[in-house]
Amino acid sequence: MNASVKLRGLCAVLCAACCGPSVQSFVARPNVICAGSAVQLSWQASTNGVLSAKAPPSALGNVPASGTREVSPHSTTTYRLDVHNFWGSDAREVDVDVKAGSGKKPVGQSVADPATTCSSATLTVVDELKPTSWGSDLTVAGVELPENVNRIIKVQHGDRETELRPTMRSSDRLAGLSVIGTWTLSTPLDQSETCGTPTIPRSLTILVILECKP
Amino acid sequence: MTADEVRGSVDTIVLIMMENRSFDHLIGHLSLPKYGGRQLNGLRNLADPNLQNPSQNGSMIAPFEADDEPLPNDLPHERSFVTTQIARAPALGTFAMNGFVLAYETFSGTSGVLQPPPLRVMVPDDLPTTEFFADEFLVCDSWFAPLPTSTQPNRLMAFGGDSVLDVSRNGLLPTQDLVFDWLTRHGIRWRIYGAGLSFFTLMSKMWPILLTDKFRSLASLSFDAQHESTATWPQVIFVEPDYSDTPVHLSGHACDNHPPSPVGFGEQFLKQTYEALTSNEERWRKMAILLTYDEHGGFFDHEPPKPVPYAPPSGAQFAAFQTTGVRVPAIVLSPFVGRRSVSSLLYDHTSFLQMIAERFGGAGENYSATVSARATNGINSLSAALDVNAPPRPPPDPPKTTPVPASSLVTTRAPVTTMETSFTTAIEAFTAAHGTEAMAKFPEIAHFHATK
Repeated sequence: MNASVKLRGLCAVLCAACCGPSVQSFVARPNVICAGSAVQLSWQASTNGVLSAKAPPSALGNVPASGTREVSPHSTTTYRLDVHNFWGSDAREVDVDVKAGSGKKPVGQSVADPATTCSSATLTVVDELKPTSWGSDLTVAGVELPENVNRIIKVQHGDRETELRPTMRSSDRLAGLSVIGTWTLSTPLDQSETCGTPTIPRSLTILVILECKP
Repeated sequence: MTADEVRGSVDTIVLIMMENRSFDHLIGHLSLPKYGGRQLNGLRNLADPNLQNPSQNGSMIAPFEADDEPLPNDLPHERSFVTTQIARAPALGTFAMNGFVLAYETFSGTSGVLQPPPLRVMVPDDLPTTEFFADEFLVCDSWFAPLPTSTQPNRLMAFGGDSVLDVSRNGLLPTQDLVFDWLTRHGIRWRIYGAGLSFFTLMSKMWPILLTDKFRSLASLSFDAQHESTATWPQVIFVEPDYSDTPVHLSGHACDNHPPSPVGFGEQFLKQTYEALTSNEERWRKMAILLTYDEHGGFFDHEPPKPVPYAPPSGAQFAAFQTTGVRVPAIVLSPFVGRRSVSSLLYDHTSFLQMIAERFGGAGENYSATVSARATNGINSLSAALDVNAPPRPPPDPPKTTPVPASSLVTTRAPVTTMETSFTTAIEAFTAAHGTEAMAKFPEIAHFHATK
């Protein structure tokens, strides 16, 4: 093994470690919006990159290693950041979910969330919808039990609450509220369920019917 | 099979260990009604609320069917991320198994992905070889990675029954006792066949061994199976794919199924391996092949890990593990299993070592204290999946062709992951220690030096 080979090998390891491009973050805020609303794309990468979208106009051009770009998509689309250099490449994709007029979105929380509580009779989860993720022009038109959920779920949001049941699967009592804020979902446990059994639900989910303010 | 039946019936044991796919992601579709609805613990309904994962923006995301294609980036599967993924619920004491999207969003620095890669469900059209295996042989639907962490610790558990690491690390692996040492101590013939560099390039004590006849190219497996004398034909065979994390792929692509690579090349590799191992029907009649995956690779699975604790071995320092890792695909290919059969007994990678000890150890001999402790905690031997009374049958013919992946492998990440850096370091150190001998034995190493 000659010194030159060793030196080149060392260089390959060190250069790959120090020079290979990487994307540390690439986010869209908010990422659930009404058609045409503004979204800020922001990214942090190790080198300059190329920004693109799946929906036209697809090419958004070359961008610096870190920065922001405002976009206003009219349909659900994927944004992609690609970075390349001699040592390799990296990429990230993020979606913006665009609602036109109205649409539904599953909202809920895992029972592993620290805010979850379980008493002998009730399981409760808390889901926080933040303005960094949800457009401020999205309002609630109603809530529904998802197709495969067949249990009572009590829903609290803002200063109102409602109850969804397998026999009454939708409610408009929350209509008009902003989607942003705290959603508290709770369900009574049936006789076969206790807080520690594997059969207990792993999450609670409802469908929120969203409406875009004109 | 009992230990006596294993000793009387099985002459060749084979381990094929692929990379980084979970059971539900890869073969969970077997139980979906639209794909035949097999009676096994897979997916029944992708809209089942218990399969949904919360995302950072507060919405819930369900698993979805996806075609085979390169992914934008790798998925998180290191110890801290696996803790998030299995999602132990403090208020309940159960595992929610729905933190895969949150872990992915944290790892990749993204949020708001509508179809996040961890929730992809592979479909049969993209898995002709795996579908063939699942259809013709035995699926284990309760086989777990031994530890809730990444590649290196889980491969060390599989190949040694212990791990001195709890996370994968840059650089060479620390030396520890391996199944190769156990087999050698017991005078058992063994060999590694590789489609690329061996994983054990990462362990310096293995270098002199890899330079011997103990390591051969996968290309010679078929010839050896048909023509090698019984006096030298190995009793235990380890087949290794071409690992994505190695810097050189002489065929142009890896075939270990590690994301972000597609699985099409892995399907070709598995077909080639099966055809080689079954090319000698006489040897096939006394063969048991285990195909499994080292760990879940960040892909979702609905089955909670099992309470099988693991404390660090002597000399190692890390917080003890309390459970197995995430469930992985495992299929047993052998004349000693029935068509379309399922074993729902609890297994992990040390099940393979239990069977090694049953077949090649002394009467009543265990593989090791750690493997015995895991058996005490419910881990069965691989032999429990075998049936000495299975009706004899010739090896079924595999599918004629496998699809070429939608796009060829494109490396979409910098070669700086822990495993990539480790392989590069290992190649340098291996070459420094063994020079031209290493380059002559491994054309990948010669190519690495010639092209860098």
